[in-house]
Amino acid sequence: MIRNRILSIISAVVLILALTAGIAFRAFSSRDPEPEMLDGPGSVVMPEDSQPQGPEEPEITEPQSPVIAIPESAGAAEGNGSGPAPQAPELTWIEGLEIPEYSGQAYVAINGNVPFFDTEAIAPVSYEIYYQLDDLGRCTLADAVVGQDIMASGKRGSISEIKPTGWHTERYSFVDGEALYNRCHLIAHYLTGEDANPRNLVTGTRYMNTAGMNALENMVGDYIKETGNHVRYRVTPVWTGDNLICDGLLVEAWSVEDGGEDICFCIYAYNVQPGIVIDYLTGDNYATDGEKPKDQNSEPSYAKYLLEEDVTGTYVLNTKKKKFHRPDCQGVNDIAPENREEYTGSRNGLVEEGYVPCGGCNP
Amino acid sequence: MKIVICIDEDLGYSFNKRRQSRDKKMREHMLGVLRGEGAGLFVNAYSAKSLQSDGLLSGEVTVVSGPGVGEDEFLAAAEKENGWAFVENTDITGYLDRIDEMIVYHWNRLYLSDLKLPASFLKGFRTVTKEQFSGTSHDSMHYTRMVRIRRRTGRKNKGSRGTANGENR
Repeated sequence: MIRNRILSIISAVVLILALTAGIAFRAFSSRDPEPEMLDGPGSVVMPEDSQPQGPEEPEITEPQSPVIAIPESAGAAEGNGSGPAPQAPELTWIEGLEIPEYSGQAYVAINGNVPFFDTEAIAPVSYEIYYQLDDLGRCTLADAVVGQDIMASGKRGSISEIKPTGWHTERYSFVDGEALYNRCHLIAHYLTGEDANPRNLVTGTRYMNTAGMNALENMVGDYIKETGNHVRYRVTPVWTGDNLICDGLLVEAWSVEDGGEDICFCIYAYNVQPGIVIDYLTGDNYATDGEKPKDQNSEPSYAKYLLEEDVTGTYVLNTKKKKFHRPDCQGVNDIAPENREEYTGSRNGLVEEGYVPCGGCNP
Repeated sequence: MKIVICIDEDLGYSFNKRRQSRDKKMREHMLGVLRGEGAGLFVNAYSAKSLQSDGLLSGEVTVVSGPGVGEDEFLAAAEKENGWAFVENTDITGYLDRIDEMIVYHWNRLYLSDLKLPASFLKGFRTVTKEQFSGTSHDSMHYTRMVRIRRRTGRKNKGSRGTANGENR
């Protein structure tokens, strides 16, 4: 009995080490033969000269048993604040990532909606890893295979003691719940039960948290809850320079037992809030319509702009939307000719005229 | 054409050529309704596999599948046989005008979506039946039966204003 338990623990450790090292495990074959036609009066016979689109043509047979036994100690967590966290690997999958400019959708599919990680090397064994913060104290990476055994079993605890980088408390009447920023989980509490783990929380807009992250977390969590299957789930914050607010979150997910048939996506959720301009370097913010934040403890960022040392530059104006861009900003291509104007002069002068800087190029 | 479709709070019904979510009790509910009416359900291979894994691939379900079969061909098959098409991962944009009746299951959740039902399309239907129930993994779901609103195209003679031959009464 004790010997079996020791063997289980050893196999779990070996498995996690192997996964971290990228050694390929194959849970079971997800390549299915052609579906079988139902016999009987209701069947419809079809021709045989093309392949269906979308998820691979499934077989209508029961899945085989996994090759790898699930260890009793599945559900190991690393870097959850209770011990040393591993250092993040080189984040090669976000190097040179081309992300379309935000255009009104909370998220966008990246890489053809296929995760960057190796989907052939995933075992149906739960784990969760929250990697070390970087030198600026920013989250780097959270990675998991989520199963029912590590999903939250109770209500979320308080996370208010965590102040992620760039944290501000401004509130606006037109933001859902009023607070512009949420402590946004990389891996949701619903999925792995993590509460106040600083390696798992970034400063995210309410919009990103609800319209972007909640939507995909619901999708993954409900799938696991319904099927009992596992989902590989990796979240990578995307940072520009030394910014304290991330540009967005790259979320990759893949359902393990069914070979990605139900869950397969690679989504970038924009860390934006419609109607609000964010200074991603600091987290300062202001409403484009001039509404001042309700938090009286914070100096309105609009005023901060006016107090900043002025600079002179060349900008492209959208005279209709009262917005200004860098000349090389992609957004200038969308400005109608009759609303476009080039301006060279004081930046603060523009702000005083009511112009707001583009949230994308941050002029 | 008659379809069964599941939608989220954003009227989405599919993402990345996959269903948004699944629920065994919801499927049992769907099959129970159709069985009670003696109606058939037509599905593609993608739906068939998950119905089979739930043990619900019963006699009233016709799988329109096989090598060379387009994943939307179950729609035409359902229409031809006056059955119901279970839409999960198929773009039905080109079929909207042909849909006369729908069974809509609402997840009461927001999911990712890249295929949505247009709100203007839904406005063309009226609700016949509505019911709330608990699913397997969804605490609260809504079942809604909808039929297309048929508008009269011709003017009928109102007797009080005049007769067919134009004489006033």
